[in-house]
Amino acid sequence: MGMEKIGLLEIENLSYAYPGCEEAALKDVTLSVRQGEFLLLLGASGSGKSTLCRAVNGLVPHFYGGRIEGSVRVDGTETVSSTVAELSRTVGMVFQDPENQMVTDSALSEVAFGLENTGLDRLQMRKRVEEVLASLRLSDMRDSSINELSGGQKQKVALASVLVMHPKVLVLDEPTSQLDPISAEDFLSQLKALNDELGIVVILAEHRVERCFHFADRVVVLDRGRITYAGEPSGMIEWSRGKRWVPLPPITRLFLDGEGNGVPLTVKQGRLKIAGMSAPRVTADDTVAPASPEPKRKEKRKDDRPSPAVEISGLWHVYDGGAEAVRGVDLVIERGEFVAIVGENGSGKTSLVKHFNGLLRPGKGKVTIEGRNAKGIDVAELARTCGMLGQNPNLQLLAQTTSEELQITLEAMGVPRESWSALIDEALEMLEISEFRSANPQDLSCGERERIALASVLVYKPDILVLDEPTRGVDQGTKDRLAAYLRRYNSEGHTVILVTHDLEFAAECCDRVLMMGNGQVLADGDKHDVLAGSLFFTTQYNKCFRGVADGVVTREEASRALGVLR
Amino acid sequence: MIPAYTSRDTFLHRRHPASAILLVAALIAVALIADNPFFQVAVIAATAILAWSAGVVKEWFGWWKICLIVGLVTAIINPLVSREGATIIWNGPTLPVLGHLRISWEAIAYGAGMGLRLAAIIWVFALLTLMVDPDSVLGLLRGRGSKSALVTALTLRMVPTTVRDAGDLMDAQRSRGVVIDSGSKWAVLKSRLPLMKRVLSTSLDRGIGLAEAMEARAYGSGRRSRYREYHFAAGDVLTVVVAVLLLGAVIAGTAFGILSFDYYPSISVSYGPGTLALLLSPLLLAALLALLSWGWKRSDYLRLRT
Repeated sequence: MGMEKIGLLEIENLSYAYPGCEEAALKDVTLSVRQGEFLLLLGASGSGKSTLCRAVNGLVPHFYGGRIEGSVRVDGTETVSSTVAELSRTVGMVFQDPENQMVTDSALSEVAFGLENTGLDRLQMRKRVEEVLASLRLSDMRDSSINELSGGQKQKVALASVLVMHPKVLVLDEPTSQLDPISAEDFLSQLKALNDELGIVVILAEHRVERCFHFADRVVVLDRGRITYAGEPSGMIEWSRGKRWVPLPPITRLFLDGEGNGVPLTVKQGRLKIAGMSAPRVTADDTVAPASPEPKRKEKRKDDRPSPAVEISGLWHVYDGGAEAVRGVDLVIERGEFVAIVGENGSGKTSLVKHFNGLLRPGKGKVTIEGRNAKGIDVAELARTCGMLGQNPNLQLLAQTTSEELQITLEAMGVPRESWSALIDEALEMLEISEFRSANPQDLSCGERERIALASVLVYKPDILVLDEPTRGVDQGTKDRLAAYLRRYNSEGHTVILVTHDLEFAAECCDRVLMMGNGQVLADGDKHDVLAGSLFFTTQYNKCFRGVADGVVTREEASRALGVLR
Repeated sequence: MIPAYTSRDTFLHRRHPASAILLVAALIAVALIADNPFFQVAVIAATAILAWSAGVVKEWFGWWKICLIVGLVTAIINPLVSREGATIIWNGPTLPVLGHLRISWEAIAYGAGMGLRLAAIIWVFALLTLMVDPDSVLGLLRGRGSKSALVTALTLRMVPTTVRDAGDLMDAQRSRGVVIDSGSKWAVLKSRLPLMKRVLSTSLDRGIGLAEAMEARAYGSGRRSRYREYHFAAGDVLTVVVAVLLLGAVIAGTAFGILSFDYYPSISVSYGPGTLALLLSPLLLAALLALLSWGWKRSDYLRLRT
């Protein structure tokens, strides 16, 4: 009898529905994962990625309940007949939000927590804990309080706390969604090293394909609970032709149209392919100039010189604990500009924009909004000019229906009742959520809630719109739609300010980029100058075309550059 | 914002959690036993010295607002509800609930003394939170106690998260013009009710997330072991001895009336050499431990043996 190769993880005809849900979250999923594989799970919001992750470590169905059919076997153990605690010795899971998975107060205790639960003796524990802390370069932080760690460090502690259990399978559900590009790269590189060196199976669910596509041995795409693609990353090129929504890295999508073969999957492959096109160096005139007009601020300031949307001079902000969040910032944002504020976690981006509507008050310095000194004006009054949407849309939504949610804003803004209906219709239509008019926002998906929260601000059409991390945990389709709405809103003469880690999104939407670090403005200018001048805080397109075509940061510019090169 | 525990390399931070808790418990006990307001001042001063020697005096002092509010409220309420005291300074009208208002000098002094006592207890508690690692307290307990301690620790950890969520929620509402902090108290309460509902549901979501993460790391799979090992060193013995001595002295002083301070019917204080010695006893304890901390930082001999 021949030896049949059995995967470390075997999922057969798995269907699962959450309690009280008619529709199954997973439908007839069959998947086999071999020892040492790096599996990338892709799919739109609500496609079943998180549910599949939880089925691997037994949280589905043991923690959630619900109806389950089919089987999941990890290292020969049926998850249904085992417990989550037993499975935790084989499967480690890192969740999306590091805040929600920290049980103790210090990094060391957090890493040891799982081993303490298994009753391992102290000597063994010490060896494992120290080894894992050292391997993830966390030794210096062993006694640090969890509150003192950055987002990236917290997520590494979360990884260490499951790695210490010596799992055979690591499951990660969007672990980098809250990290800046550098922290995300660092985290994913370490994950890949663990996969390469220790042969641990990695199952990574992600929306940010460009961050991890090059690490994957195999890609699984889910759509409404079904696997629509499972195979090598290169196979996705053929599979995705003619499809509307394609979870591929920007550089691959760029080459997808019209190329028969040799479509690059990574930045390196893209760069080599571009370098191989024998053509003279492409200048910015060939790529950038037609697509990117001079910033509107310069045009407007020449004649009538209206007061800027935001004017800040010598701004300092120090929090109660003594942390200097904003350090001597001078900034002018003219009316009608579209600005992205980028920078690593904790660089002062959110603290800066919270001064625009008075949520934070300057410790020192002056903030002027459309010519009015913000000092002494309350937030509700400033909100009439400057609407702001925070990072968590759940915290914006209070009402039982979408329509009521928008009414709360209109009532607060003192808009006459007779115009409510028209304004609500317009906002819902613009964000393509008219069908959810009577739905309870809490019953909708994350992307849909994000749009309702945005509508609740857009409904009164503030002159200045500030969005803090609007693409966090959002799939590509939703991002494309959001970019279109924001461009349209900006084209109507409104000022839009984005705080984001998503550089691809920033490049596609904005004219101007402001980079922050350590509470200060490190760079400020046209997006081409700022992004093209940065090694890490830039787009995939720029990384690929660097040295060949100047100033390429967006897809359109990359296409144009390719046209010239060909 | 209330500062949380941070690991530091000081004599007090390196204590066995049991001895650190005992020291704090002794300070709270003596603050409760002694009525003399000067003794409460001495307890606060002793706590300040200990916080200074542990390098957390700034964070410790950060609790002044809570101490002031609680102390003032107590000091104000007592004269309004107390009917005792011989020296009447104001005979007021009869009010619903409060009855006939009759403010005495002694009731004011008693209220101030109680306020001071509460402030002392809060500040000692502040020292505990800054000096003792909550995880080490959790590690001390086993079995059912461990579970209760874990629930308490998780609940305490959820407090700042929930406060932050509430702050973010209010910011989100203010950012779209919703007024939530002006108008009558009833209007403020009414506008905040839906927010409280959302904060509660967000906390519930976070709680579920945490439970999921704990279960995914084998919580509840059987008998737990303990990573940290706590040695009861000579420094711990000394800490316990001075704490017990302080407690014993104050109990004896109170029993023999050396530390007595009566507010009613009129203020009477006992004083003598014994009173002065007892009033200074918390400061002596703090000075001794501060001296040891100073030496511990500078001498490897002390560091290795205490």
